[in-house]
Amino acid sequence: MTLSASYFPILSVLIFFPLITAIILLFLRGEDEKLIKWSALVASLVEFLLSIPLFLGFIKGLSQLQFEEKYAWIPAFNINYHVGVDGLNLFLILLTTFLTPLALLASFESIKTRVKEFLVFVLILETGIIGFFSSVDLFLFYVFLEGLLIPMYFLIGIWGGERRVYATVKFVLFTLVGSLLMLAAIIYLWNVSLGHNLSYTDLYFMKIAPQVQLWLFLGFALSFAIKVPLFPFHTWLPDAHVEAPTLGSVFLAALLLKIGAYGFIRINVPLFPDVTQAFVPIMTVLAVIGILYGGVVAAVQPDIKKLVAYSSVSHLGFVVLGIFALNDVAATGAVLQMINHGLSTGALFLIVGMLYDRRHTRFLDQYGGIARVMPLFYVIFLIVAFSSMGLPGLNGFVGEVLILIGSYKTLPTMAILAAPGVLIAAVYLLNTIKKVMHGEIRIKENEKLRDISLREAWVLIPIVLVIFWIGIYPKPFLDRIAPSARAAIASASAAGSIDIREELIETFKSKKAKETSGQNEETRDPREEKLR
Amino acid sequence: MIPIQWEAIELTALAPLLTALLVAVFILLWDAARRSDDLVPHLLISLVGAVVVAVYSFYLIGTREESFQGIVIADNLSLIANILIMAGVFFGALLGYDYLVREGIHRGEYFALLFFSASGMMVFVSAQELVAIFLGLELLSIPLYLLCASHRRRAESQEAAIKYFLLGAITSAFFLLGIALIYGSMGTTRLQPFLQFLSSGHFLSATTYEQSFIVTGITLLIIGLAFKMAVIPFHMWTPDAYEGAPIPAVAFMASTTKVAPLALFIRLFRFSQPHIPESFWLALVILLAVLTMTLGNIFAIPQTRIKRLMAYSTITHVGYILVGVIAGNRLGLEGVLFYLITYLIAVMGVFGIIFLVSTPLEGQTSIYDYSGLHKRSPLLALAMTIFLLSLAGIPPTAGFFAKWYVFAGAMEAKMAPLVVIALVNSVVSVYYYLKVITIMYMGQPGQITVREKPALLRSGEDLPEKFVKLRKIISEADTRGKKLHELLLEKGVLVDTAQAVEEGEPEPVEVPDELLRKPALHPLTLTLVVLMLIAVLLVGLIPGPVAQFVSIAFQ
Repeated sequence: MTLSASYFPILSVLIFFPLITAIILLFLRGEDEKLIKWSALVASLVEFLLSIPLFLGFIKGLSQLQFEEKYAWIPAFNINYHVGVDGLNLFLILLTTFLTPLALLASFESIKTRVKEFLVFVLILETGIIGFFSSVDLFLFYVFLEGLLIPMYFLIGIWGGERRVYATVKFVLFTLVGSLLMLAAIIYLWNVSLGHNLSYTDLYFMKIAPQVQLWLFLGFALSFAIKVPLFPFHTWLPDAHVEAPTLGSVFLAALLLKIGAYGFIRINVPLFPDVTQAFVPIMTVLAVIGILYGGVVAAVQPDIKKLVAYSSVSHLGFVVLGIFALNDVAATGAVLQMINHGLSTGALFLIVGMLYDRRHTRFLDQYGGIARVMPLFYVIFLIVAFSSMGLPGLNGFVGEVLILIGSYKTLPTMAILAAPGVLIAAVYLLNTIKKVMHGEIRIKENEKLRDISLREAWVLIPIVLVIFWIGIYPKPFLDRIAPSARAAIASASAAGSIDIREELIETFKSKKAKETSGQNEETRDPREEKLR
Repeated sequence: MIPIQWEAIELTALAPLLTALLVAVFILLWDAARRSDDLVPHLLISLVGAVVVAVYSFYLIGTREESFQGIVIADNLSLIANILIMAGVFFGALLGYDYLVREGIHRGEYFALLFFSASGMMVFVSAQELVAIFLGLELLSIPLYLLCASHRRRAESQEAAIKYFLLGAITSAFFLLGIALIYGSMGTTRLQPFLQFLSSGHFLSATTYEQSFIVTGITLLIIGLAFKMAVIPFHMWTPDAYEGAPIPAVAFMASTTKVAPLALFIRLFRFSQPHIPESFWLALVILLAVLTMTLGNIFAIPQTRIKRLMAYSTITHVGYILVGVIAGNRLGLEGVLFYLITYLIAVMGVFGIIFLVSTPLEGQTSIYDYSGLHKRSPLLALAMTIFLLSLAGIPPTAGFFAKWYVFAGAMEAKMAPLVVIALVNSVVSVYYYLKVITIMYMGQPGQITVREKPALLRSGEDLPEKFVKLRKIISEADTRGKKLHELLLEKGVLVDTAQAVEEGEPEPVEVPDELLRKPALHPLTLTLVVLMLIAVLLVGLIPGPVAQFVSIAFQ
C-alpha cells in the first residue's frame, strides 16, 4: 500500500517532532529566554528540513496517498492511526513547516512576556496542524482538529490585544459548534461504514443514500464553512485576527482557515457526491457573496489588520468557488490558491506586525510616507500586496486564473460575478499602500522609523522568493496537486454529469456570445492553456 | 419453624460487600481505641481495604455467584461496578486525609463512612430484589448525609447535610411507594420476574388497573433513582450539598455515588429494552436526560463558586451518561461504564486541585480565586486545564473518548437527534469550563477577589469592619497578613474594594507578587492530582485497555 519511503515514518516524525520539542522546552528554565527562543527556532527549522524529503520524494502524477502509515490505535473500535500525503495536503503540510520558523523569528522581539509558554503553544499548534492535514482516519482527523484549538485559544487569549479574551472565546465556541456537528456525522459514518473503518480512502467507496448524505454533508459543511469562513459564518474572524498576536494571525490566516477549504475538498465533495451536486448553487453563491462582501468591507477598514482579515474572507471565497465548480482546473487552482493565500496573507500579517512593533498602532491614518524612511520594507510590501491581488508573474495570479477559468466552464455566471473580486482586491490593497507608504510624512513618530532589520529580512525574503517561484514556474506545484484534485472531484462531477451536460448544451446554444468572451479571458495567459 | 439450610447460604457473592463492611467496622473500632490524633492508620487501613475489595472483585470476574436464593448476585456488571466504587473510596480516602488534617478534624469516622456508603452502593448494584435495593439505597445515603455534615465548624456543611437529608428522605419515600405499588400489582419484589413480565408482552394484556399501578410504580422508582443521580428536575439538593459539604466528600459523592444508580439503570434497561423499545419509561428517561443536560448547562453558566459550578457540571454529565443508558445497546452501556471511569478520574483531579487552592475553612473557592494560578502554581493550572478539557470532552483527553463511546452507542440505536442535542450541549459546557481556564491563564496573577459571604467569616481584630471580606486572604497569609493589609491601605485599593463589594461585583484587587498566596502543596493530594493527570491523558491517548475492561461487564 505504501508507495515510497516506507522504511522511514517521515510523517509521524513531522507530526510529533514539534510536540516532543515543546515537552523538552517545558523543562527548560523560563528565565533563559534566549536559549529557549533559539532552541524553538532551531527545532522548527529542523522540522522544515525534515519536511523537504516529502516534497522531493513525492511521486508526481499519482492521486493516491503516499508516505502512508497505518497502525492500530483503538482496535476495539477499528480506529487507526492512519496518515498519508497526496496532492491536496502535501503543500499545506509544507506551508506549515515553512511558515512556522518564519513566524517564530518574526515574534522574537514582539513577545516579551511568558516566552516559554508562547513557544510551547506554538510548537504544539504546529503538531496539531500537521497532524490534522495528514490524518486519513476521520477519528484522528477530529482529534487533531479539536486539539489544535487549545494552543490557539491560549495564543490569542494570553498574547493578544485588548479584547483578546472575548475574541478567543468567540473563536473557540464558533469553531466548536461546527466541529461538534461534524463529530455527530463522523460517529454516524463510523456506525454505518464497513467494519467501522473511518479512513477516508475507504469511505470514498461507500454508497450512502442521498437522504443520509444530505445530513452528513450539512454536518461537515457547517463545520468547514465556519472555518473557511464562508460568508454568513465569518463574524469570528475579524475579532480573532485583530486581537491575535502577529504569529497567531499568521497561523490563523495561513493555516487554520485552510482547514475549512481542505475539509471541503477532502471530505464533503468526494464523500457526498450527490449532495455536493445539489449544493453547488448554494455554496458558490455564498462563496461569491464572500468574495464581493469581504472585498468591499476590507476596502473601508481603517484598521490594517481588520483589512487583511476581511481580504481573507474574499480570497477564501475564490477557493471555495474553485472547489465547488467541480472542474479539474478550478479544483487544482483552488488547492494552489490555498497555498498562495497562506503565503501572501501570512506575509501581509507579518508586515503589519512589523509596522505595529514600530508604531504600536494599526490604523491607516497613523501612517503615511513610510516609503521614504523604509525603502526596503516598501519593496517587500509592494511585492506581497501585488501577490495578494493576483498580479501576473506572482503566485496569486496563477491560482485565481485557474479558478476563474475552471469555474467559467461549469458555472459561467458565478465566474463572471466573482471576477470583480480581483479588482476590488486591487482597490483596497493599492489604497493601503497609498495611505501607508506614499505621500508626506504627517506624523512625527514616523520620521525616525528604522527600515527592516536583518532578522525581519530573513523572515520576509524566503516568502517573497516562494511567491516568485510559484508565480513564474508553478509546474512543480501543479504537477503534484492536479491528479489528486482531479480525483477528489471526480465522483461529484460525475454524479450529476448527465444533468450538467444537458444544461451545458442548452447554455452553449443560447449564450454563444458570452462563450466567446469567456474564451478571450482564457487566452489571456497561454501558459495556463498548456497546463491544462 | 423451617430449619436453616446452611448449604443454601452461599456467601461468595456477598464477600466483597462483607469485606467492605468489615473494614468500616474495623476503622470505627480502631478510632475508638486510639489515643493520639493520628489519622495515618485510618488512611492506611482504608487504602488497603479498598485495594483488597477491588482485587477480590476482579478475581471473581467471570463467575456468577448468587446469595440468598438470588437476591444478591455477583455478575460481571456488579463486580466491575464494585471496582469502580472502590476506586472512588481509595481516592476519596487519599483526598480526605490531607483535608482532615488541615481542617483539624481529628476523627476517623470519615474513612468508616466512606466504606459504609460504598457497601450500600455495592448492595445496590448487586441486588436483584427491590427491598434489598431499598436497603442498599439507605445504606448508601445515610453515611453520605453524615459525610456532608462532617465539617462541624462550617455552617454550610450542616446546611448541606440537612438539605440533603430532607430531600433524601423524600426520595426514600418515593422509592418505597414505588416498590409497594409494584408489589401490589405483581405480587413479587424480585426484579427478574418483573422485568420478564414487562418485556414478554404480559404487560400489554394486563388490565388498565394493573397497568396504572405498574406504570406509577416504575415512574416512582425512576424518580427515586433520579434524585440520587441529581437528574433535573430532581437536582435541587445538589448545588447546596456540593457547596456546603467538605471537599473530599463532594469528590466522592460526585464521582462514585453515580455508579450505583446507573448500574441499576443499566440492569433495568438491559433486560427490558430489546423487547419493548417504545416503552413509556424510555420516553420518560429521554425527557429527563435532555432536560438534565440542557438545564444543567444553563444553570452552570452564571456560577462563580467553583464547587457549585462542579455541581451543575456533574448534573450535566449525568445527562450525557443517560444517553448511553437510553441507547441500551452494548456499545452504549459499555460507554456508560467508560464514561464513569473517566469522569471519576477528572472529578477526583479537579477536587484535589480545589482543595489545594482553597484555604482553611474552604476559603478561596470562588472561580476568581483561580486568577493567575498559572503563575502561582503552573502544575496545578496545567492539571486543572486538562481535567476541565476532559470534562468538556476535548481530545486528546479521556473525556473525549468517553463521549464518543456513549454517543456512538446512541447513534447505533438510531438516536441521531439525541446525539446532536448532547453534542450541542457539550459546546455550551465548554463555555463555562473555558471561563475557569481563562481566569487561570489570562487573569492577572496579582488579582484576588473579595466576594465572600460575610456571615461565614470570623471578624478580624486588626481590621476595620468594612474590610472583613479581605480577612480570609489576609489571615491565612500568617504573618504576612498585616503587611498585606497595610500595603493595600497604602495603595488605596481597599476603598475601591469595599465599594466593589457593596455593588456585588467581584472586582479584582491588585496584590504584589511577593505577597501572592501559593497553593499549599499537600503531598498526598498532589500525588493524587498528578496520578489523575497521567491517567486522564493516558486513557485519552490509549483508551483501548479501559474499553476492553468495561466490555467485560456485558460478556
